Amino acid sequence: MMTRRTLLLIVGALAATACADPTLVAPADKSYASLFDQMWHETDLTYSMFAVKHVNWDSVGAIYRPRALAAQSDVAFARVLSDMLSSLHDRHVSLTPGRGATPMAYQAPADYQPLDFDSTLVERSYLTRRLSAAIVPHFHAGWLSPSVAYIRFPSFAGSDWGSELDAALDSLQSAKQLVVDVRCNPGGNYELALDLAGRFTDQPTVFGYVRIRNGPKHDDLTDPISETLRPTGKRKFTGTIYLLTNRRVFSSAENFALALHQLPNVVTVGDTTGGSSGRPVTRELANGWTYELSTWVEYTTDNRFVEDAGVAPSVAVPRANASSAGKRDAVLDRVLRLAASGG
Amino acid sequence: MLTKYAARLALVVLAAVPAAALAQSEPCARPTSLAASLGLNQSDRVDAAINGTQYQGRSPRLTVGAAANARGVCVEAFATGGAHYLRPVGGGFGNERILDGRAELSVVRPVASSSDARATLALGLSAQVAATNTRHAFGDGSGVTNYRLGIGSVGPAFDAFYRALGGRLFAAASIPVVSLVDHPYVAVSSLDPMPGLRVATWSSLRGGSGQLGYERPLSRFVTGTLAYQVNGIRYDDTRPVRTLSQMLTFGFRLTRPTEGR
Repeated sequence: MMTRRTLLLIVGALAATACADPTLVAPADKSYASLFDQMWHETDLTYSMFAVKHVNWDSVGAIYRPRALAAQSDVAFARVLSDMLSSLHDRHVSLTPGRGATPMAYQAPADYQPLDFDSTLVERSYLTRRLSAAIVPHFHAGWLSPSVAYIRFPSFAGSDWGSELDAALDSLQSAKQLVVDVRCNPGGNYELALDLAGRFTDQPTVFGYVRIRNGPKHDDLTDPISETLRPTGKRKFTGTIYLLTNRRVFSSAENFALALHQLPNVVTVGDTTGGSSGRPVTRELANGWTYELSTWVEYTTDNRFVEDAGVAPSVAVPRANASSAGKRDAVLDRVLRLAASGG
Repeated sequence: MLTKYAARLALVVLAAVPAAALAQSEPCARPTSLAASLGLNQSDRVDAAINGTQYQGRSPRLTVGAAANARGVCVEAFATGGAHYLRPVGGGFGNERILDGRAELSVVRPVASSSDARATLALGLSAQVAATNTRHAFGDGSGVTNYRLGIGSVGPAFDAFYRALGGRLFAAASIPVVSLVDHPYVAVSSLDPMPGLRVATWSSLRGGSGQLGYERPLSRFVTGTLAYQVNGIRYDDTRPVRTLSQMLTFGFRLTRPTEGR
C-alpha cells in the first residue's frame, strides 16, 4: 500500500515537472521605441548591401529614431519605418504593416516611367496558334511565324510547374528559333526560375556568384558561391533563343536572364534589367508586422554587381523606340528581323 | 573564468574515472538490454535567427535505446526525434513546424557503490548530436522560411542508481563542454546548404541533459520504466538560441536472458 502511494507520488511529481511552462525570454516590448530598435538592429545584422549602396546605417538610425518615437499612430509609425528602409534604395526591402496590408517598398525613379511593353499587343498582333491555357496555365506560348515560337513568362511565382514548359516545348518542337519573353516579369521563386532555364541548356554553366551575409559586421559575407545553371526537364530547346528583357525585369527574373545570357545559343534583346538582386528574407517585429531584407550580394561572372546595374542586353532597343505609340512592339519587330536574317 | 573552471573540473572527473573503476571494479548497474519508450514531449524554443519570440509545443515522441556492458564499461545510447508544431508564447506571432532528432552515447564506468550495493555511481563521457529544422510561418501570412540548428557535443556524464520501492530509482546527466554548432546566420539557402560548423565552448554554449526515473522488473526479461527527461541549451551567438525540451516517458526494457535480473 505504501509502495503504491509512493509510486503515485513519483508519477505525479514527474508529470507536474514535465508540464511546467518555462519562460526563456522576457515578453516582447511593443512600444514604438522598442519596435524601431528591433528593426534597426535586425537590419544592421542582416542586410547584405550597405557597402554596395553606400549607406551609413548609424546615421540613418539617428535621423529616423526621433521621428518614430514621435509618431502618433500606427500608420504614421509605419511610414517612418518604411522611409527608413527606403533609404537603402533596394526594391527587395519592404515593410508589411500587418496581415493583409500592402507592402510598403522602395520605388526607384525608373519605376515611375511609363511601361514600354504591352502584353496584349503581342497577343493581339503577333501571336498565332496559341497553346491552350489548360496546358500552360502559368505562361503564354504560341507561334510568331511558322519557324519562330514564342513563350512569355509573366512571373516566376509558385513552384513545381516546370513540367508545363516540357509540354510547351513538346508542342513547339518544330520551331527553328524560340523567343523567350520575360519583359515586366517581377520575379518570384529563384529555384523555379533556374529549373525553367535549365530546359535551354545541355550542360552545367556558371552564370554568377553570390556572397551571403554571415556575420554581424556589414562586410561579413561568405566567400563567393557560384550560381550554376544545370540541365533540367524532359524536353529541351537548344536552338537559337532570343531573350527579351526590359527595365521591369526584377529579382529571380534577372537571375533567369543572367543565366540565359551565359548560354552561347541565346541573344538577349531589349533593355537592361532592373538591377534588383538581393534574395530577401522575411523578418518579424514583435507586433506581428513583417519586413524583408536582402541577404546576399550577387555578381556577374566578370565580377560586376548585378544590384542597380542589371543585366544588359546583347542587342539594345532603346525605350523610346520600344513604345512605338502602342501599335507595334519594337523589340519583337527587331527580333523577327534578326530571326529572318539568322542573326 | 567559468570556462576554465568547467574545463578543469571535466579533466579532473575524466582522469579520475579509470583509476576509480580499476580500483573498485564495480559491475554496471544496468544490464545489456534494448529499450523503447513513448512519451509526451514539450519543446520550448527561442531562436533569434528567426525572431525573439518563444515558441512552444507538445507532441508524442518515441525513444529507442540500448545498453551494453563489457569489462566493466557501461555503454548506453538512445535516440529520439519527431515533428511537432509550436505556437508563440506571450503574444507573439506566426507558428513553427519543427523536425528534430537527438542521439546520445555515453560511456561510463562504475566508480562507487554503497556497502549494501543499493546505490551505485558511474562517471564517464557522453557524446550528443542534435539537429533541428524549423519551418517558420509568418503571422501575416507572407510565407515560410526554413532555419537550421545542429549541435554535436562531448562532455562528462554520470549515472546513479538506487534500489528502492521494489525496483530502482535512477538519475543521469551529461554536460556539453565542447561543441560543434551549425547555426546559419540567416535562413537556410539552397546555394549554401552545407553546414557552417563553429566550435563552441562552455562560455558560449551551456546546457545539459538529464533524466530522473524509476524502473521495475515486470517479468524475468522485461523491465518497465518511467522517466522524466530534460534537455536545455543556451547558445550565446550573435543570434542567440535558447531551447528547453522536457519529456515524460513510459516504456520497457528487454534484457538478455542470461542477464535477466
